[in-house]
Order: sequence, then structure tokens, then C-alpha cells
Amino acid sequence: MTAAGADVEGMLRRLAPQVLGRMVARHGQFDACEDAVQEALLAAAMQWPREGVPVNAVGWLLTVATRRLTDEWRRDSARRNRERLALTQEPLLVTLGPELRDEWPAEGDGDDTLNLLFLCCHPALTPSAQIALTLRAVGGLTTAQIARAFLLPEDTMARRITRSKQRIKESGARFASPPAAERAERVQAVLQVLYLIFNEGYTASGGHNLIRAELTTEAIRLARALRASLPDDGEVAGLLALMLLTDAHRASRVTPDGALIALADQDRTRWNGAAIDEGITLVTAALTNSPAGPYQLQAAIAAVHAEARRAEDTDWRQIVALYRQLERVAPNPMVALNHAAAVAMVDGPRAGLDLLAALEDDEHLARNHRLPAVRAHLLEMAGEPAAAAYRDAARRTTSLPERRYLESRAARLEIHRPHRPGAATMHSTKADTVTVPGATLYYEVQGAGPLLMLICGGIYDARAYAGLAGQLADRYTVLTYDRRGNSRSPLDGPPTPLDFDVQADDAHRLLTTVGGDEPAHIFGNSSGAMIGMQLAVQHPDQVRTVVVHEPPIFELLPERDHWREVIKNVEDTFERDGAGPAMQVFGAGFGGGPEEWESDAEGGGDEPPPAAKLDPEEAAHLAEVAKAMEQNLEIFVGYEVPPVARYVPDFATLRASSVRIVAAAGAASGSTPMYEAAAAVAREMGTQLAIMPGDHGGFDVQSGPFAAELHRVLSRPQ
Amino acid sequence: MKYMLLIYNRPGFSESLSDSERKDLFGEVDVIMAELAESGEFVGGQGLADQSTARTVRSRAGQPAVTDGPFIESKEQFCGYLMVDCESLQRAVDIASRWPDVRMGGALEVRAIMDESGAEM
Repeated sequence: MTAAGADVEGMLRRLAPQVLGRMVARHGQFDACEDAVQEALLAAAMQWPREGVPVNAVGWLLTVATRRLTDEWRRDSARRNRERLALTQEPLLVTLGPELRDEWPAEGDGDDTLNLLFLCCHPALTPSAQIALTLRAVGGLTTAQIARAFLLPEDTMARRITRSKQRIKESGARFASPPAAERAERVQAVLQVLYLIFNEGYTASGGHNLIRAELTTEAIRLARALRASLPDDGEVAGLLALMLLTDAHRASRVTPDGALIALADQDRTRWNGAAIDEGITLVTAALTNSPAGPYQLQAAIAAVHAEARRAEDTDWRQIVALYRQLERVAPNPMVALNHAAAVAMVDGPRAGLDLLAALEDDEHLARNHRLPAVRAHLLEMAGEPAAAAYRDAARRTTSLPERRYLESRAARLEIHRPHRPGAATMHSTKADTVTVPGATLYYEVQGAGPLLMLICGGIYDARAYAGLAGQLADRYTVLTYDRRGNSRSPLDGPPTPLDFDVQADDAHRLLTTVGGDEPAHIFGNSSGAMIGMQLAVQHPDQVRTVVVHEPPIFELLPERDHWREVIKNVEDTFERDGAGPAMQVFGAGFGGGPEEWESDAEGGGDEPPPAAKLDPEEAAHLAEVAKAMEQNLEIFVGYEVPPVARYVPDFATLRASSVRIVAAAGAASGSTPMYEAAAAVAREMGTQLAIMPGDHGGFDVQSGPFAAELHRVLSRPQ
Repeated sequence: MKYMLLIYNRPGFSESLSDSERKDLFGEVDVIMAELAESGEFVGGQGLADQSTARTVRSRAGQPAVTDGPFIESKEQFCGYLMVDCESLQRAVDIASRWPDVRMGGALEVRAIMDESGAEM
């Protein structure tokens, strides 16, 4: 469509209700007038872009529509009289004489739009018929556009509209303001229809069906028109505010591939500030000037969410109070459900679950997916098994994106048997080496998609990521490697203390070798996470995201002095007595073996398979891995622990950089120093801590759910 | 909400009907279809040819393997469908209840169609 065409279409849609309202006011016969106005709009849509918009556009449309209507009457009477007159189509071209301007003043009565809405939302019609008729008669959309928006054949929609017009005729409804006794109820019906139209558009998942998504714009436009007719009605203002505040999330509610993002996980910097401001102003004024109705209260709840810069800043007490009020004003099971979820945020998940128990017998909720979905969420909050409730909810919903979301929540929580090296993978792995200053790095690449590099921490090598890499290779090109000095990446000379600049340079060279200029996602566990951050400092152009999983940055912890002492002790012991005794000191300092710091990557947390059942190939593989880990211990305790313990990331540079830093920690890591350090990184960066399945070694022991969650984190929009 | 009404019946059951019975049956179907079209609830629908024309494709040793006949051998076969867009599950069930196959030993299964839309939770 040309720019002129687009302007004309927008203009016609604004004029449509005025023209139809005045036609019906003058002639009665809603159905015949509606057809005539549609024809007039069509004529204008063809003629105006070519010849320009007439000075009195409304008058032009009224004239054409009236001619169409008289044609129709003539045709009917001709039929009745059985006259065999050949009917010629009136030419569409209309010249507007000055007399018409007097007959049809350009300014109409604002109540025409309102009366039209009352008619279209007449109680004799089903909600779907009310919606279709409102979009056509008040919104000025064509039948084809409405059919596309509701994913229905045009013929189905045409019949629905025709039938609704007949129903209105049969019901004897008049084009006039409803009697005072019915008025409040009729306004309610109009509000509900507009809200249904809004939700049809808002829940549409993305760009596949533009006209469907545009229903939100249309609903907001209609709500504004309604507000112009009823400026003092608090509920009309409330609905408009609710729509604006909800629509403000549009850009951040789904990932680029259409997956839903929960409110708490949305990137709030992408919310529409202008819409939020307007919504808050509207609802504040409405609540001050009129008794609080359900739309105002829902808008007020949306406003409280909008005012929280971060999800954790949400004023849940106020939200609970608003839900209580909403339950009094408009009790319904959905409100009770949302109330329970809000209570859980104030008084804890148990309190929320207790409220849910009272809803279990509600017949409206019996088959609805929302009840198990909220229960699952609260169980997860309480640290109780929740996967079955998520699965239950996923089976009950009839929405594809909701099912996807609920299934991924369930998958995250279900403990998968860890992937065993040597088991068949679907993706072939390419192994190679690259020479870097002072060392030769061994690396593996598998899968296809955006580049994702996994950086190991401590004594571990690429084999620790075999399970995770296998789970992600269907979506990413996964790059893993043995860091210099470890396993299959020999140093040219004797070992030297770990240097983060050198480690970051290794990662940079490897990325260039495998991905060229393509910026990569980075996942690093433990000290690998810190190398990822250093890489982001030195080569921001090469990095899209760094997921920083449990970095042991002790300098960020309140008890840093204690850790300094432990590390000094490890250093001294290594100098004096060598790696073995130093490892013991290290273990004692962390209240256990190195697994407290370093991932127990090879089967920890999962029952090790009985040796007798291992096939020879797998047994040989495990022996080889064990030997490599043992050799890596000396590099780890002697050359890695001290510099790692002293490292402080360059947060100023990271905060100013375009690289997204996501601090992450295991749900089962509790209050370990690694968890606390991850939380400290999140605070430094002003972002939210991502909670991953399992503990420090969750990426291996729970590689399935871990991969799903990592993918979710990486696909979140910026 | 959109629903698919899946029609199951004994293959060839209509062969056992007399001409007038068959005429009545088709008449009944025509009435329901006209009503659904007029109300703007009819989205689509088709009858299926005899099960002897069916081919079933499965994976055998990683390769698609084609066999003659329907997916599941049973007394009642899937023989057609009707798709409606209506206000409630109850309305869809009401439409299904009137379908003549139900009276004649067949069954209709009413299934909700997945929606591409979704609300965040």
C-alpha cells in the first residue's frame, strides 16, 4: 500500500463509526446501513488515494452510503413489483455539491460512536459475534481482515457478521442510548468486548500474523473513542489504562522464536515507558474520582508491576491488597488464583499453597491449566517436587506457547541421568588443535547454530562438558577445549601462574579459529566463568553473552580476609611440600575435598555405575579421564588457585560494554561461597541472578535440564 | 475456541442402509451443516475415502516404510472430520451429539485445537 493509501485507510477507519452512526440515526435499519457504509468505505479506499481526500470527507461518505441504501431499497421494491428493469450500478465516482455540505455537517454527534458500540455489543449476540461486528462496524475493518485476525475462512466470518446483524434486527434493538436501568450493564458489555479484542491481539505470538497482533492497537483506539464519549466513567479509563500497561510489555514478552517470557524474567528496560506513564496517570485519576471497579483494580495491579524497575523490587504487599479488593468487587476463581500467587510472594509459598487448596474443588478451575501452573510455581518456590504439576498444566492448556513454556519448566526440574562419554551422540564431533603463544590447545566442535563456547574451570577438561555440549548441539555450534597446561593441551615450557590475560587471549584465538568474526555466547563454570569475563573485557566485539556460573571471586565476599588466609596457606604448603599436601590444605580450608570448589564432573551426585557393568571402552575412557584429572591437579593447586582467588573483574568496563553478563548459580548450591560470589556479580552488574539446576557441577550431573535453562537464558532478548 | 470433531464408524456401515434411510441421513447432515454455516461456526470438514485406500508410513530401520491399510486396525475407523469455531466445549459437544453417526453405532471425538497464542505466566 502507498503512503497515501495507508493514510486514507487510517482515516476511513476513524470516520467509519461516525458515518454509520449517523446513517442508522437517520434511517434506522442497522443491517442495511452497515452494508451501504461498507460499500462507501470501499469506494473511498479506491478513489481517494488517486484523487485526493474530499474537503468534507464525512459528507462524501454519507452521500455515497445513502445512494447505496436507496439503490438497495429500489432494488427490493423492484423485486417486489416484479418489474423486469435492468439495474445499472451507480458509478462510484461522486461529486459533492455545496448543498450536501449543508445537509451533512462535517461534525457529528460523539454519541453516535457510543450508540453504535451499544448496538454491536448487544446482549442478543454471542461474544464472538459482538467482537466481529464491533471490529467491522466501529473499527471499520473489512470482513477479510477480521477473518485473517481470527484465523478463520472469510466465508465463516461473513456469515457470522450477517447473522449478527439479523439477530440485532430480530431483537428489535434500537439505535439509541439504552434505558438508564440497563446502561451500566451495557457499558460493561462494551468494555468486555474491547478487552477480548485486546487479548486476542496481545496473546498472539509474534510477527506471523500481523493483523492479529494489530488487534491490540485497534482495541486501544476503540477504548480511546469510548473514553471520548464517556470521559467520567472510571471503568472506561481503567480499561484503557489496563490495555496500555499490558501492551507496554509487548516487546519483551516473547523470545525471537516465540517462546513466552515470564513477567519476572522480562527485560524491563524494553517496556514502553510512554504507555506506562499514560496508564498510571489514567488509573490514578480514575481511582481518585470514582468507586474502584474491576478494570481499575486490574490496571492498578499492572501499574504496581510497571513501577518496579526490577522484578525483585515489586511491591507485593500492595498487589495482595489490590487482589483482596478485586475479590470483593468482582469475585471469580481466576482472581482468587492470582491472589494466592501474590500472597506466596509476601508470606511464602506455603501460604499461597494453602489458599490454592481451597480452590481445588472449584468446577470452573477443575480442568483449567492455570491451577496446576500456579501450584507448580509455588511448589518450585517451596523447593518441593514441582515437575509433575508443570506437566499436568502443560497437558491441560490448549495454547502452544504456554505448553512449550510449562514443559520447559518441567524439564528443568526433572533429573536426567547424566550423559556418559562414549554413549552415542547424534552430532559428530570434530577435534583439532591450534597453536597459541606458549602452548598448543586441544578443542572440539559439534552441532550447528550460533557459536557457544564452554570454558572449563579447575582441573577439568572438555570431557566434563560432553553431556551439556551433546544436549545443546541441536541449537548451537558448541566449542569446548582443554585449557593450557591441562589434559590434551601441553605447554611449551614449565608451568607458570595462571594469567587471566593469557587465558582470555587463548579463548579469543580459539574463537577466531572456529568462528571467524562471529560473536559468540560464552558459558564458563567456576574459574572458567572468570576467564569468560576477562575475555569480555578484552574482546567485547567477539562476545555476545557471558553466562558466569559460580565464579569463586572471593574478593567480592564479606569474609574475604578468611579466604585470603586459606589461600596463603595453600600457597605456602605447595612451595614447601608439593601438590599433594597443598591439595589437602585446600580441601580442609573449604570444608571438604576440591569438589566444594571444583565440579565433581565425573559422576558425582549420581551413583557411579558398578565397575562390572562398564563396557571395556567406557572403563578405559574413565581411567584415562581420571589420570588426566590427577595430572591437572598440580597445575590447579600450584598455579591456578592463588591468582584465581585474587582476581577482581573489571566491572566498570563490563558495565559500559555491550556484552551481556548473566551471573548464574545452582539452585542446590545454597549459601556456598561460589553462590554468594555469583550473587555479588549480579549485584555489581545490576542484573538478576539466573538460577540453574543442580549445584556447582549441575551442568554435568543434570545436563538435560541445565541445557534447557542455559538455552532459555541465552535466548532471552537483550 | 476451535474444535475438531473426529467421526468414527464401522467401515461401509452406510451400505447396510436402505435408500430412504441413506437419504434421511444425508438430509440430517445437510441440515446441521447449513445451520453451522449460517451461524458462522463452520470452519471446515471433509469425509474420508474407504480405508482400503489408506497407506500408513512408519520408520523401519531409520527409513520410512509404507504399508497398505489404516494406522490402527479396529472395528470403528476414522472416516471424516468437522471443524467448528464456537463459544464453548459444551456447544461443540452439542453439535457432535446431533451428528447421525452417534445414533448409528459410531462415535464422535471432540478435540480442542491448539492455539498459537499464549499469555505469559
